[in-house]
Order: sequence, then C-alpha cells, then structure tokens
Amino acid sequence: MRQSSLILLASLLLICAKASADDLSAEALLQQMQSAVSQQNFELSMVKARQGRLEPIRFSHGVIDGKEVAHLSYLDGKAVEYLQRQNEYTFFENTHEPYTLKGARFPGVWSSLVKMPLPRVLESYDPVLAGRSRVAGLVAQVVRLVPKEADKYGFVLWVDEQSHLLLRVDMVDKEGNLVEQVLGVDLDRQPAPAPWLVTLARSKLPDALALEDAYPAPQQTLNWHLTWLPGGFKVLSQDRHQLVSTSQPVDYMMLSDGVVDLSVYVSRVDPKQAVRQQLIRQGATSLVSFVNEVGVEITVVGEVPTETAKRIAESVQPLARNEAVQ
Amino acid sequence: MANKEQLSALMDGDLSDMEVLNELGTDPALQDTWARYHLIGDAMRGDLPVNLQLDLSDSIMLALEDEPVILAPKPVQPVAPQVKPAGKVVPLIRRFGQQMGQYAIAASVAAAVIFGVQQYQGNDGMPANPVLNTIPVGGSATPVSVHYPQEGNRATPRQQGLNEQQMQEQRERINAFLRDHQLQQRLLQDKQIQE
Repeated sequence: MRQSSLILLASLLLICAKASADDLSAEALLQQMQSAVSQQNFELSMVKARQGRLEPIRFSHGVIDGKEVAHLSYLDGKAVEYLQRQNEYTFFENTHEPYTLKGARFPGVWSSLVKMPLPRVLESYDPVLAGRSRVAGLVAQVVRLVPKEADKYGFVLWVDEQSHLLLRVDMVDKEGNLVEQVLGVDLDRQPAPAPWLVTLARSKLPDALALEDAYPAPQQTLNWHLTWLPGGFKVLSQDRHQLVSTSQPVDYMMLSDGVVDLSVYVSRVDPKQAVRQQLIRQGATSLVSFVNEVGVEITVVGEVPTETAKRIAESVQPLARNEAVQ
Repeated sequence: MANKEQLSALMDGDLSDMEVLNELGTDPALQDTWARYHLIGDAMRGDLPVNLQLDLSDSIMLALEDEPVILAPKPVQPVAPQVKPAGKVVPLIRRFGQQMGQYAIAASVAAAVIFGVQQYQGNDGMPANPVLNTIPVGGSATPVSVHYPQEGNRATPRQQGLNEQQMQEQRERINAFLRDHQLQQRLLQDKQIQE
C-alpha cells in the first residue's frame, strides 16, 4: 500500500509538471488536428456509442479543386447522409426532402470538435497532454479538454501522431465515467480524393437556402432571462418560433460555449398535459423539463450533465418581475 | 540489461527488439518498471480504476503456484505456463468488468425507455417549411427516460397513471424538443464560428 501511494504521488507530480510544461503544445496539437481534418484526403470509420447503443458512421473528406468536400453517412439502419461542399451543407434524411444550408455543420461531438473556435473553447476548458495510446491501429497523442468548472462534461481526444487526424473522442463526466464516445476503427488516408467524392462534389444538389428564408424567426429580446449559466456559455440567439413536429409556440434561447450547445425553451403549458416534470438523458444530451409555479413550462436541452441542465432551467426568471423587485 | 529508454519505446510500439522483450519476460525488476510506466500512463489518461490494487497480479500468481495439481486425465493446455509471466492480464479483465458494470448501470437507468417513436406529422395544413426538419430522434437513437426527482408533490400519481395515449403525446413532445435542438445546432452554427 505504501508503495502504491508513492507511485500515485509520483504520477500526480508528473501530471502537474507535464500539465504546466505542455499547455502550449496541447493547444498547438489541437490546432494541427483542426487544420489536418480540413486539408487531407481520408476516410475514417467510427463507432458512436451512447449508453451501450452503437452506431457505425463513416466520414470521408477530400479537397477537390481547392474546396473542402466531406461526406458523413450512417452505416446501419435507414440511410442518412450529409454532404459538405465548402460551406454548403446538404442534409439527406429518410423522412423528408433533402435541403442545403449555408454555414451549418454535421451533427455529433466529433464534428463539433474539428470545427470548434479554439480560442473561445479554451476560455472555459484547459487542454492537457496525456501521453500516447493506440487507436485504430495507430499511435495517437491523447489530449484532454478539462472543463474549468465541474458542471460541464470533459473531452478526451486521440489525435493520430502521423496525420494529426482526430481518431477518437470520449465525453466524460466529472467522475471520469464515459457518457458518449466516438471511436475510430479504421483510417484510410488517400493521396487523392476518392472518385465518388469528386462525382458527388460536381453533382447537382438542392440550392442553398439563406438563414432568413430557412428559418423566418427574427431575433428579439425575450421577457425572461437566465440567472445562472455554467462558465463559458454565451447567448447566441433569442427568438420565438414553433416546434416543427408539434407546432407548439415557444420562446427560444440558444447558448454555446464553443463546443457544446444548449437550448432553452419557455412555453405556455397545455392544461391537458399530464406530465409536469421530465428528465431525459441520451448519451451526453440531457433534457430537463418542468412546469413552474406560475404555470410556465421550461425545457432545457443540451450536452451538459442533467444536474447542470436542471440548474439552468430553475434559474429562468421573468424580466418584468425582476425589474419590479429592483 | 535493457534501459528505460528502450522500455519506453517498446510501450509506444516503436521498438521491435526481441532481446528487450525476452528480458522483460524474465527480469522482475524490469517488469516492475514496465508496470509502473503503464500505471503512470493510465493516471495521466484518467484511466485508473477506483480501487488501485497493485499487487493483484503477484497474489494471483502466488495462488496459481499453490494450486493443487489436477491428476485427472484432462487435455493438457500447453499455453498455461506462458500465461504466468504476463501478469498484466488481470487488470485488463478487471477493466472489462468495470466496463460491463457501466453498461449494467446504464441499462437499469433505461428502465423507462421510450420505444419506437413515431414521427408526428403535425397538421398537414400547417405552413411548415420543409427545411425545418431533422430526423426523429427515435429513428437513430433512443432517449432514456428518468423520472424527475419528486418532492412528494401530486405529480407522482399522475405521472405513474399515464395511459398509452398520454405516453405517446409525451414522447412526441420530447422528440419535438430534441429535434428542434438538433435543428438549431445546424442553423446557428455559422453564427458561432463568426463570433
């Protein structure tokens, strides 16, 4: 036992020493990773795991005539495919007509991390180098993105030493338990873009819709605000719109810390509605919903721990009343 | 005697020198160093098990040596002696067990899983823009439902007494929120990167 505590102490010291010495290179490695993903020709097969539920996906990327072309497809079940051509993103899904949006992004934590605005993210996460490890048959550098406050999930990234491509991402809670994982299983680097990707890049796709046309909900100041937010989160957008599938009108606020997004909905409660409180977790995504004492339903959805989502939901305060109190 | 640099290279898969491998198999001091290096690596990656029992492999090897010899005519397994020096097998199995434990917890949380969510089409007359759509969450993954912590209020009996139709409505409502969140992530990404 004495020996073990000595070893623990030694390794802790090593971690501390390493953390302070390598901050810069951890950040540099993340930068290298982001530019590698946008500049190389490759195909990466991955498995997405949330709560033991596995979903195989494949990401193909090429630079064709100086333009970035990427393709993400879900390999099991119904065909779902997304295509990126420079900053135009086309979404092919089984339930509706495909559409193209400008400046969108692919869903999922892997895609968020390779496109995240790094300086913004590093305001609320510390990058730490954590040695090397093997993923998909390749030696990778391990970088941890540790949230500065424990109310957010942390990330562990495996970056291929040779190509600097992002091979694996773990999202972990503050105890280090895995909440969501994207695990690369096979990386194929190509000297030239795959021929089918070139064909796709040149094929006719739905015209890109401008944000104003696609989503006609003007920005407006809402009559409520959040009195508590986890570190690093900022309000991106505020509007009123209807939910697509239920056409329920909602007040909406989107927040982001650069890598994780949060949606806050406030709506009038349907008197027939039986469930007054709800808590859902799907991998890293939490949904907390409750009807408050004045009969307003507050729903928070986002990739944060459920306790955090609950705390945010409970921090919603009407502006008018707040001002009256002051 | 292999030096520490060689050992470290071997760990990273950069060294294929059989000499070092053989030495590692026979030299207990070297094995100690090897185990310690891996432990440091595990600590840095946050992979350490909750209860660190460093002498586990040693104690199991001791136990194996104490094992009475079975005299019954059983097919001899020639690999058994080779397994012995590879003390690292034990922690691996333990980690696998931990992993399974995690899934078991997840599975018990999933007691109230929402199955087979139907896509709700809404009113056909609604002027819904086709762009405002994402795939139903139930199509690719399943939300796990956990009951909101109750504080002894009247929501409890109501929540438990949901009929099939109310359950269905609730599923639709949850999926509407989850899908809207996905959609907003697509729509507002541009804004985020510009910021």
